Amino acid sequence: MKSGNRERTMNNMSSSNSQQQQQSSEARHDDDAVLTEFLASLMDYTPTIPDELVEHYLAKSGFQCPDVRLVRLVAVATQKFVADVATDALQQCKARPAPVVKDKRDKQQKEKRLILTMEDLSKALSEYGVNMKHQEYFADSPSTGMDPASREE
Amino acid sequence: MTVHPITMKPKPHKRSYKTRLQKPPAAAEEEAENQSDYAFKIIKTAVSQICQSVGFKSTQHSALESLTHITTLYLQTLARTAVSYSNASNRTQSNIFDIINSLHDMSSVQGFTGGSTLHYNSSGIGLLRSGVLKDIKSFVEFSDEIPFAKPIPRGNPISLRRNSIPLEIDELDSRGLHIPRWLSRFPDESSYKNCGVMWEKRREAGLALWENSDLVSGGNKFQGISRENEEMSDGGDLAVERGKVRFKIGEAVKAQKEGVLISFL
Repeated sequence: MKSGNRERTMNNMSSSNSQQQQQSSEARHDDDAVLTEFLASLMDYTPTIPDELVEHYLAKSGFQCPDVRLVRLVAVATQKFVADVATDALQQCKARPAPVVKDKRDKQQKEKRLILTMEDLSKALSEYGVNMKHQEYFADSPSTGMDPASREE
Repeated sequence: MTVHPITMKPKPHKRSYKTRLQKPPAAAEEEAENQSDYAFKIIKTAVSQICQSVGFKSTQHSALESLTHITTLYLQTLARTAVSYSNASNRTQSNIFDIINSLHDMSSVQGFTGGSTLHYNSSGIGLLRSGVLKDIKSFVEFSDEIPFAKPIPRGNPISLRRNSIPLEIDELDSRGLHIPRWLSRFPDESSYKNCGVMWEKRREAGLALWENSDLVSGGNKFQGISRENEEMSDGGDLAVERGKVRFKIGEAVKAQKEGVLISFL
């Protein structure tokens, strides 16, 4: 109800000012042009996630659309999501204090440090609303995980 | 955002020493057995390509697997939300506005530019000016294009015909044109051509009440049923009187040792 009232007042305001209305329609036209241009640019862009795969998942979810550009848009959106998560994970990885390495192959060690780990990934994903935790681990007896030699039988 | 140009390798997920060294857990192998294994492998390659482009040198097996799984879920949720938006406006085909709406839903956890003024305009201007869409636009403009490592053959004829008997060309000619080509062939002729004979014999013997039929009373009144059936369907009673059998539950080993069957209390 509230939003309906707001809309009405918005409409009244815009109709009372014809100039503003004209401006908004012009702006809308611009947005339209920008969107069309963007969608056209997607035709030349090859997303990392292949079209075939996206189409497969879209069809599985009941998504029907003959337009290839929209499939590309979904692919690009997903790619952006993955890239964002990966970038965040990389920042987490870099922010972690480096282990002290006194070695002449220091640079190589630094290169090797850039590993995507569960720890960084779960931290990065928590910002995206994904709560990732390690699976709980239950054992039937306290000695299960221990070395077989030390186990009492 | 840092994006490093890289050169593509045919199998990017094998580049990391860690992935190669770590043996995949049994659960992952089991999961790999299922039907969507192919799609999962493809998206895994794509995700690892993206991770490589972001700057990672190698990955834990479990982390890559999780990220791949989440990517799949993201894609599916995006599609499902778009579908529900289009269905809510009485359409079966989705359009750009459905996708933008569902993108808004997906990124509402994080928040985005213009999210607070999203519903002020009823005419869709808000959707066209969407901050999420602008972000994607700049992503397309400023990030490097990384095509998928290998071309994927389009179409999957195996999955379509998996459950049907393959059709021969001459069979297609022999059967009527009104039957669509994609339907599987008829079952064996003997299974449907001669099944009327038995019923005709029944009709010759005259219609009978169900109570009097051989299934209930045990008498075989019809010639069409063989003698073997007669023996088997004698009213549901056991043919031979049998002795009582007693069962004992538990302590089976003990009972066997003693050689005595004790009735269950």
